[in-house]
Amino acid sequence: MKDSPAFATDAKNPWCDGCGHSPVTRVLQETLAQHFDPSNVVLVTDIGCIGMADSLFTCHTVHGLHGRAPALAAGIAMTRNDQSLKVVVMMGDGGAAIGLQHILECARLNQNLTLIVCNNQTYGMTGGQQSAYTLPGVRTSTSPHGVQETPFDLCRLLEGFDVLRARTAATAHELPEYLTQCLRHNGFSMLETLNYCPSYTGKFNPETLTPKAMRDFFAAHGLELGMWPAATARPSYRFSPTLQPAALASIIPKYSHGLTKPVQILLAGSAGGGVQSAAEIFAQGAILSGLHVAFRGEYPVTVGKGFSTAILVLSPEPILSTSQEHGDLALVVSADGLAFTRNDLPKHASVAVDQSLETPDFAATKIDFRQFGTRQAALAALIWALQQYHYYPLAAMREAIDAVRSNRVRESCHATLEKLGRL
Amino acid sequence: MTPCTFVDGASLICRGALHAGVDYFVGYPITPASGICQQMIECGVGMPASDEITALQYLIGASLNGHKAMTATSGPGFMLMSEGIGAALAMEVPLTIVLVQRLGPATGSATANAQGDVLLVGNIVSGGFIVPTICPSTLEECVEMTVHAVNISQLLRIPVVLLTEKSMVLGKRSVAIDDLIYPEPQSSSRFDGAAERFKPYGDLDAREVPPFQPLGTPRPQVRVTASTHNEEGLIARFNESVRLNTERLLVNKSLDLFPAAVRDLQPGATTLVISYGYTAYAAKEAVRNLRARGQAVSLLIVRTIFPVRVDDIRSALAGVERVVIAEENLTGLYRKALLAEDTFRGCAVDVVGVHVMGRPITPEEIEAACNGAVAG
Ligand SMILES: Cc1ncc(C[n+]2csc(CCOP(=O)(O)OP(=O)(O)O)c2C)c(N)n1
Ligand code: SF4
Repeated sequence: MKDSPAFATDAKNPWCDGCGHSPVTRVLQETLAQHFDPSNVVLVTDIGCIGMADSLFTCHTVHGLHGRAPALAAGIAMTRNDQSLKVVVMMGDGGAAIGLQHILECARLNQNLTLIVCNNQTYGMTGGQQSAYTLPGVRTSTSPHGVQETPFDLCRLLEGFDVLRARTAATAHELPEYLTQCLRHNGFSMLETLNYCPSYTGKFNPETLTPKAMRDFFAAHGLELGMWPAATARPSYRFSPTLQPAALASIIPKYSHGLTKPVQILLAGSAGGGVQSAAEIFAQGAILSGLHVAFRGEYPVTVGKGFSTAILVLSPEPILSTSQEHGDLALVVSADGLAFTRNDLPKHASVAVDQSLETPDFAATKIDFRQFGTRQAALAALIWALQQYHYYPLAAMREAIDAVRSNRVRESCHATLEKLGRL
Repeated sequence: MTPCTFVDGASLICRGALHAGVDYFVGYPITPASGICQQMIECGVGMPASDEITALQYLIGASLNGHKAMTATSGPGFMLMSEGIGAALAMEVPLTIVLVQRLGPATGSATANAQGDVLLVGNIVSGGFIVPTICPSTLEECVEMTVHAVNISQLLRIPVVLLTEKSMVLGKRSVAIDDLIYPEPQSSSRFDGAAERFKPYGDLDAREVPPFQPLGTPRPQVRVTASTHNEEGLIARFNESVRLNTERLLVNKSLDLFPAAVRDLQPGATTLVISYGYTAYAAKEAVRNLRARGQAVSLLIVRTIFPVRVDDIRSALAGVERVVIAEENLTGLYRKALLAEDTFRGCAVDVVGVHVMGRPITPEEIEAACNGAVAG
């Protein structure tokens, strides 16, 4: 490796004699030297024999986990704000199998990096096992009678992504040209080099995997060799942060409340019935009145169907635990809400339900909350509670409604408040 | 009147992150952590990943470029990240993982609260190495503890977990804006010597951390690896220099960086309540109730889960006969961690756990455990 000094260290070649990783490394060093400065190149190596390449290179090197090198490299490539850094990945066919998702993602996002898959038909480092790229007939330590299955064809798998793809033998004379094209490509490029591992696949397949026979063997399996350029020059993926921090909405208490001890209110209704937003408005009104508030909503993962509940604690003092089982007031505005909270309702000091709901097993005040519409019933119930129990003034609730962003919702809420005020 | 805001933990964690200088966030959707990712994207510093394994690799890559990198997830996603967390620790790459606990095992119950991932976090890296784990115990602390988590990751060049739970992140409370604490943001130190002198894992500072050098021109060559390595960042067989280079990854020497427990100790108290995270609210209420009834009780709220600050806890044990540890999981996981660290060795204390799964612990349950102590 002495004749390409810019990128080659004088470290000893770590690989077995005849290993296909050596010629690829050598060509990569030479090609990089023609186009880049070592301080502008990051080589990310995957796990495996191929991952021993780091010590041979004078550029930046990063060595991580099995199969994950393309994702790590993508993290580097997309978060550079200058285009000067060239990111190159070297991985084996084993890595390209366990990490296939990352390769597809690099192609989908058009990450600006060059991936070299050194396909030696096996997991060299772990003892010559079959990979998902090992061709039919090849004997490995986990396929002693020859592989039966159809392997992945990486060039084909990437066909739909409009990225630069190439495949050739590791010793082919077109390798430098292909590498040059890949390294100079702006966006994702993938070069698969075909070779074999003399210590395992070479030994197991002396008829087919030899320096002379391998080209014919690969061709016989229909692995097309060549280079397929990207059809369009689509921009590569960039992550460019544009910080837009949101300010905390500030509420300055200006009303006074009527509470001497905490109250816990359960509001239950249907998903999509405005339960969460009514509770939110109610909470804002409480804060405007100098109360402390804790709120937790619960609804099914299918947010548009079934129950929706809110538990609100209002307190003149800072609130600690909100795990009290025995609430002060339960308000139920729909059958979904009733079904979900039925067992908890008798644990409340007072219960008010919409007049359409049957509660034969416990006492409940019946109110026509739903006359205000299904989406306003929850808010109506909370306004009713304010009128009954005077937790805080209606004026604070009115001001909280003023802060609702949607014009339509704000107007309906005000209408409900005015109508209830008149009743 | 003091200005208040009505806010959830997710928003406050994002505020802390942005204050700390997080400028790269990547996440994969998972309840109850998704809201943090969405907000970070809205704030212009986040992006989605195709899965949690990818997310962690993106973080490592971004961090190597000098970004302050963060993700948020819940138990199932955290487990997918585990191999990458070990790699980041070995590579000495700073990043922060917000782990919002939900009820397990496995997919469990996405919208139920829990504190069941404590030992998982404590043992996520092979070899007994510690992933610093910081835990807010009030909504207000979500800002402060997030900044500490990011700062520690930077100063020690290590992955840090901000451990929290569904109730803290999704629950909303009124918060006095002036009560939010914003510690000074910290960044890794940079190498400023001559390029030829640079060794990626050499030139250690007083905390035994090498200066950080982002990738790229015109800086000296950077070599990073997750495999055992020498000072040059090259894979090396295990020898004396590799051993030293690996052993120093154990962070328990930099305890001063880790938030101390909140101490509310009472003279003459023979019972000490210990809690953390959302359950600390119930613990505080229990202690308040007991004191209102004339009982002397002490309280310690732990905010650095790992490394266990053993001295912090031992110094609260004078005169204590019973320690009550309250946490929302089936078998008392942090109690086990404290016992495993010999926290109470040589102290004549009864260590009692209050632990339940699938619902919040009530103050009454903690009070009952304390009263056991009073009754002897
Ligand atoms: C998650 C994980 N699983 C398994 C391994 C073990 N392992 C190390 S190298 C390797 C295969 C390497 O094969 P390949 O990627 O083809 O590279 P080669 O050794 O042939 O160069 C495996 C499976 C690992 N390091 N990590
Ligand atoms: S085992 Fe195979 S892949 Fe590994 S160095 Fe030897 S020849 Fe190369």
